[in-house]
Amino acid sequence: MRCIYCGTPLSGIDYCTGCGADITVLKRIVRISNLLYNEGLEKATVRDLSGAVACLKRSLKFNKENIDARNLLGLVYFESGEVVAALSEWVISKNFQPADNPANEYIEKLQANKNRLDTINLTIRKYNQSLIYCREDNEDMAIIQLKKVLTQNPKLIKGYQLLALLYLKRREYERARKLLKKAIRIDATNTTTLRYLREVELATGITTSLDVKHKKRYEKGSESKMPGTITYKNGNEVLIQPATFRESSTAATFFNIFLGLILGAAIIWFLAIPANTQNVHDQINQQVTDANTKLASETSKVQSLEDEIEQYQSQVDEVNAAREAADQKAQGYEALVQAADYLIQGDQASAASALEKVDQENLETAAQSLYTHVNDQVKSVLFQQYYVNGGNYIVSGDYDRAIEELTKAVQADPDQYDGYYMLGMAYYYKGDTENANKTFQNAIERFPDRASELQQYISGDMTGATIDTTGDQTGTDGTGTGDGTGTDGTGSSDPVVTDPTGVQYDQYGNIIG
Amino acid sequence: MINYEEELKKFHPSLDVNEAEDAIYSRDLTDITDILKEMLQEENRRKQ
Repeated sequence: MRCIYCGTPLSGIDYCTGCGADITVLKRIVRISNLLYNEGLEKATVRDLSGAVACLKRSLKFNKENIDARNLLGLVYFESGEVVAALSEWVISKNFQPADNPANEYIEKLQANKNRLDTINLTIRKYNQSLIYCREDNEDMAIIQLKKVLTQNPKLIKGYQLLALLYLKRREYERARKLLKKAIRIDATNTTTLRYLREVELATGITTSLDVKHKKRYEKGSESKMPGTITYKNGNEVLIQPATFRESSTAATFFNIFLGLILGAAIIWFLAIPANTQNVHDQINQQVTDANTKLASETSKVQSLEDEIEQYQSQVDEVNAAREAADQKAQGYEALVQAADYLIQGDQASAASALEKVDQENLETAAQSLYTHVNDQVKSVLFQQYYVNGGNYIVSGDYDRAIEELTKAVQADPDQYDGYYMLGMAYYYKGDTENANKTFQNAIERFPDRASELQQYISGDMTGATIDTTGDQTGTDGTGTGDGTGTDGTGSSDPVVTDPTGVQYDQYGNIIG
Repeated sequence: MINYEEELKKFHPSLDVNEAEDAIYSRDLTDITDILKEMLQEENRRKQ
């Protein structure tokens, strides 16, 4: 301690050697502090930890540099399970007196065992968690946690008290009593513990016995006797006579050695070898387990790679499909451009042929417009082309191909009445009355002003229509003339169709004569 | 008769090891000697 006036370290005399000031007050303070320390030490000795803490705290209030008091306070805290508080006191003590301080040893011991420190830290956290559980009325969890805490840190008085409080609430008084007795053995005068214990006693009506029962290791009055020995007294001396006397001979020695060897071999056979075998089996099992794990891992890897391959394959298929679609589209565009080129050159027939290769659905808006424009320009040519082909097929009796061509003609230019008419006739000659009627019906819907001409065909009365395969088409009146002579080879082979009214049509659907 | 809720309020969470440093720094270590010193300083200031 230093002088409060000048800071000079105090000596044994009642005045400061530095400034000469009267320091009796300071001396008295030191004495009071030491007195309180002694009192605390006495209480700690009889396990009155709460009383000791109170005395030591008061001692430190008088003299904070009372190293003994602070170290003892740390020890008392440590004994009551408050490790962090103990550590704090020792650290402060070490700070006041770095050298020749027992606190150094305490701190080193505590920090040397890292596991122990971690365990204590864990128990503190669990205790705090239990407290939270209690406040959330989750008592079961709190009890479980506190039991764990007290298993790992059996000196934590707060833990005993909290657990006892929970048991008191549940009216499990005997359990509470058992815990409180344990707490009393650590801190004999803790007021909280005593209060709870009194509550237990009031509730049960049974006084708690705090005596520690010691098991008697040796029965009173019994004497250590070897079996078979005879004891007798000779005056004040006790003489013990062995019951038997064994003479050790060479043969007996060898026999004992042999017996020992046999026993050793038996121990190895029954204990060491099974343990070794078990160890080998364990190693093998472990290797098998590792191999299985590795195999499962590899299988999983292979499966994932296969999945990846399938994914890539599907991507390749999609790309190929897209490429084919793009090729078709490109071909369509090329054909469209070619058709446009032919049209510009005035070759409508070639333009029509080129336009046939174009798939209209694959075209974009601008290309659609071009297609429509070219198609408008060449549709009459297309119509004529398909119409003539269809007529030729009718004349040659190939009605299926005639229907095919005439269907195209109708599609190329649906505004042409003749296309429908010839298509209907092709169906009729083929014998497909249903489609023939349907075609004529379509024609009537599209060309209502010519319905009267077609109505009779729908009824199935086709007697009025004939076809001249020679190129001449004769109607019912038989007077119709064609523009060719048919198969005689002297004229053109353009087909001529005559309707029941006698009107003749050439291959282009034009009325002849 | 013990009131559980009231008793529970008397229990406070313990500091764990990680919080020890803060606890040490925040400790009030004032003793009677410090109070005396402060009183002397106050007295000296008054005299001046």
